[in-house]
Amino acid sequence: MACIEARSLTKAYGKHIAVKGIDLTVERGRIVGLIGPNGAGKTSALKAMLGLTPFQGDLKVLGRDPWAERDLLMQDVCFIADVAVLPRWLRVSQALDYVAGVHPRFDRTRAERFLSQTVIKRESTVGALSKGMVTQLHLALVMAIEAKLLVLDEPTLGLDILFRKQFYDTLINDYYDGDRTIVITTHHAEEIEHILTDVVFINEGRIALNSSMEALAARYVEVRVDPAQLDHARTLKPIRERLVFGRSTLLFDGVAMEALEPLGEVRMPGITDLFVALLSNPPATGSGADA
Amino acid sequence: MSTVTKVASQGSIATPTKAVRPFYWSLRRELWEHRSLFLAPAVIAGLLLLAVLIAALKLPESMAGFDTFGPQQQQDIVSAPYAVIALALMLTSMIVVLFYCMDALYGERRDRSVLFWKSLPVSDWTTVLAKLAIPMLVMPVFLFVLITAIQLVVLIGNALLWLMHGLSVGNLLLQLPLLDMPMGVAHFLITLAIWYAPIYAWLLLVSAWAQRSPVVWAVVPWIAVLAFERLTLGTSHVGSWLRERLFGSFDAAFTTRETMAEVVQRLQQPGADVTHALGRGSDQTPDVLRFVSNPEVWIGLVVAAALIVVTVWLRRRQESQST
Repeated sequence: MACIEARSLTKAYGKHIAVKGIDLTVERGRIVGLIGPNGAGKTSALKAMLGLTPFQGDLKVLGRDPWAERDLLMQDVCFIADVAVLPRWLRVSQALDYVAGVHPRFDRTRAERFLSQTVIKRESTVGALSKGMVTQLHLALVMAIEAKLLVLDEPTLGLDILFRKQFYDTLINDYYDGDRTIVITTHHAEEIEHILTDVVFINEGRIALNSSMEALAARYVEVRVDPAQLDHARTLKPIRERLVFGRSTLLFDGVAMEALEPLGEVRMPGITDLFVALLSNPPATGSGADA
Repeated sequence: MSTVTKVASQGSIATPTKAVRPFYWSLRRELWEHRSLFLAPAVIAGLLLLAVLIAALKLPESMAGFDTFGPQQQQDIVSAPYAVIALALMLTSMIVVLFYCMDALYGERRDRSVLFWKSLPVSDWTTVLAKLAIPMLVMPVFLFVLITAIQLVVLIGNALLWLMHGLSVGNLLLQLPLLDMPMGVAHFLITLAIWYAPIYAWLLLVSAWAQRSPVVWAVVPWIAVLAFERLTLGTSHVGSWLRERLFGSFDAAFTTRETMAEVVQRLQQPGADVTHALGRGSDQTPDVLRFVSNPEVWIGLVVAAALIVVTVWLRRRQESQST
């Protein structure tokens, strides 16, 4: 059974349709990046998956209907929405007590161990902690829960680059065990692309691309073309052309490597570049590649 | 069933699930967040003790002839402080509790911590019922303990004072309704909680619903309804119903409403002898039968239940809006 299974998932707010019939399957053990501009429907889709909002269509998370069974689902799902959601009056010790008191899969010693690596004091209130420390605390709570699915919605919003790096390092080294599933949305796609196994592009409430990173690397190739080869390269129908330091960089979709290597420097495109290319010039297949 | 076993067997690490107590910890959470629930009555209790102490220092001259007073006068004089303590503490906690209810589901939305609470396996029913249990269960128990403890301290001080002045402690204890007093307090706290249930539920609903200023939303609609009824029908049924609900709890719980009305009247007169008046008012007899046979009590409970259902419905949809 897949971790997340959505069929024509739709979410409308009055007349505004934020999610327009998404089909998405996320298998266990994947780390999926949900990439899209503001208002693309990422957060709406995540809220539906977390049981925070009613929806239309079929949606099962770990075999459960999230809207009907949010409290049961949360025994196996964790989420960090953004850094500001721990209440300011809460003490660190109270946070530990509370989660230990309500969560059957919370391992307090594990959370304590993680906190002991930080400068966070047990008697501090959340309001007295820096933004980075609040995220560390939240991560310590989440990492001590034996969850099957972790959802991170802009988890590093407003954090400086050192904290962001540390956050994802901790996540991959101390949390991810190959069996858990992680779904991440972020505006800093370049910071997470090396840890992702899958990427899903969402735009205007639809999935623009859904692919494993391997399939992505095999399909999309970026070439810094030698000026002499430029005209020839253009005949291979690049999906995007841009100038980088005065040299044309062309992005190809599904063109054989042997044909591209003679043209210049070949490399894998970054997620952000790919996103821009695909959204300004959608692939001919329409729904994008399948993982 | 097969799906459930499949899900369970999929976990690579079979974690034995611990026993959890979501309701208990939801209550603890409320008390961590709203410490004024305890602090305000405790501070007032301290002030009352101080006041009683000062009064005791001033007392002696007038007390010299206590044993010669008539029984009714003796009882009036000695029981007055106990009634004042009980009423003052109840009034304080009532105000704190009303503000608590208006903030209970509003505060967690204002700071968006509702997303954190909802990321944990605690149902919306558990959360809302825990918040309702603060005014309905926790505060009455706390108040009973606090009032009884303060009254006990005053009683001991009272007896010591009597000993010091060579007055008869036996006579003092005889004139105090030692068993009836805590019984009366318990009766009033329980009936008050039940009588006010629709008010608490209404405020919780408002706190789950209002985008801002829950205080305004809690009050203004009633003003509108009152004015509307007055203008269209020329009646004031809603108004009298509200008045009955807000101020009728004593009437509903105790038999002698006439005595109480007399007490209130006397208190309002200029230069009223407060001590005497309250002393008279404190010998009401709890009347359980009168309370449970009052249809208003049951109507109130039904209304409260309906309001709580709506509140849970609202809590479930919080953070479901587009942001």
